[in-house]
Amino acid sequence: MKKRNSGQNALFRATEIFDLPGDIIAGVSRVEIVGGRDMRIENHSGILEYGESAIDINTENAVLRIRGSSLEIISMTTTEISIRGNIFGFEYVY
Amino acid sequence: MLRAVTYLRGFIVVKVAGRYPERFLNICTRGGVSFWALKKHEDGTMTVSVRAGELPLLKELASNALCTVEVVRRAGAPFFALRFRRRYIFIACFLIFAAALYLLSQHIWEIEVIGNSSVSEERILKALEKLGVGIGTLSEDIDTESLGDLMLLEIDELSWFALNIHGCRASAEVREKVIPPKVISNDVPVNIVAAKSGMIEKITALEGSAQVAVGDVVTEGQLLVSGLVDTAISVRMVHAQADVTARVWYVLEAKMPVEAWIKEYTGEEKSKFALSFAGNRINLYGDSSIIYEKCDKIIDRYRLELPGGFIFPVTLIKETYREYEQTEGELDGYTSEEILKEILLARLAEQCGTEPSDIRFDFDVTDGVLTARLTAECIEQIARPVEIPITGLHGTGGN
Repeated sequence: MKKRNSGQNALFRATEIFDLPGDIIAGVSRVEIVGGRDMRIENHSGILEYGESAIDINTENAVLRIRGSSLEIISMTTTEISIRGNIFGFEYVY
Repeated sequence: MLRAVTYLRGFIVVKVAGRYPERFLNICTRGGVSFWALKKHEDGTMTVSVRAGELPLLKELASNALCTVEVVRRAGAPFFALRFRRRYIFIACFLIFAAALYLLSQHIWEIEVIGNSSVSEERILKALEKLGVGIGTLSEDIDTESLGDLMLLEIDELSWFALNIHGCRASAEVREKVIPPKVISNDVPVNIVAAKSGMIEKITALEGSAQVAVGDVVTEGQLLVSGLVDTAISVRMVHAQADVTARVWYVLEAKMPVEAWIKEYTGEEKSKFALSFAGNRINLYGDSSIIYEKCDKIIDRYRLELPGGFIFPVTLIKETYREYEQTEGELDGYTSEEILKEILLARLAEQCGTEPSDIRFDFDVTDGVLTARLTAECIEQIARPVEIPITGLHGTGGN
């Protein structure tokens, strides 16, 4: 697992050097926020914690923690999660 | 759009209870089950919406994640439709309606004719009917390509025909032939004969030798200018050309009985209704006997039409029978004369090429019949070229 992660990191660094989109080449997560109420996370690897005030989403290299109120998962597929609610902030937990 | 698709496919709302509902969600996404409208409740359970077809897989995945799944609500079009499964009449009607819609849409219900001016629409429709294309014909059975050729054979005046079928509506597009007037070439030797009987007013022979003089009375078909010019050496044949004006008299007659049956309505009337469906008549009355001894039958047809111009193949026919009584009476003399005058003037205008002068009417009543006689005078061109029969000429020459 560690080996895979380091390989993933090397690939991500390479995309940085060559100025390529990391979400497409290295498969790292991509977060999109619209108007502070809608959030879309691509390339996730599952939900760790789910509540109205906080949602933890596992990604390739870190855990994405979203804080807010009345948070709700609108839809979830293998690659994408849509969240709606009052988003106060989000952080990456390594 | 996505919502509409989701509704059409049907979805179920399930309640997930267990120790780690999040784990269950991750297993689901990995298992290929996508869900939406995820809600967490205070008691630790969650409700999610999934596609209706994925319920068995969801149950299987839930048992792996040590969770239980309970269906809370079923929604969407398939579940809505399932409500009607015990309503047999409704289902039967629905199927009949769908079948009728399908079957009726295979037929032609309206034919419009575009592009005709001298050939009547009725003639084109009759020719189409003869070739098996009419109201109610299956559109599949129509071979539009060969129909075009067959129609050109059927109606000689057409130069092009195409039938375009748009659903239940067919539009027949036609182009008419422009028939050139028959022209006799200037090389062909011709005689000029009289087209009508009359008295010659003026004769100017441009080519050929004049056979009549001003003041001569000629009959129809008489030779006016001959195409055979007799020179001192031989007879030369020419294309005779002449300007012949003559005074032509017209005598036209029309008759009418003085007494006639006069119709008076009694005010009694009755209506019968019938439906016409694609040319088949369905009577909406049982008694088909004649209602009155003497009556007028007035037929009104009402076509069912939508505002957009869509015409249904159903026509309501209303037949009104209006009773009348006949009494014998004398027609108003002045009116009869006017009617006859009008008829005669119309006939004169058809026959006379120019404005007639000196029109006179004479009326005469004999044996209950009113006779009107019109005499008119016209000054008009009477020259008509006729080809000289060459073979006949040789024959006479030989003798």
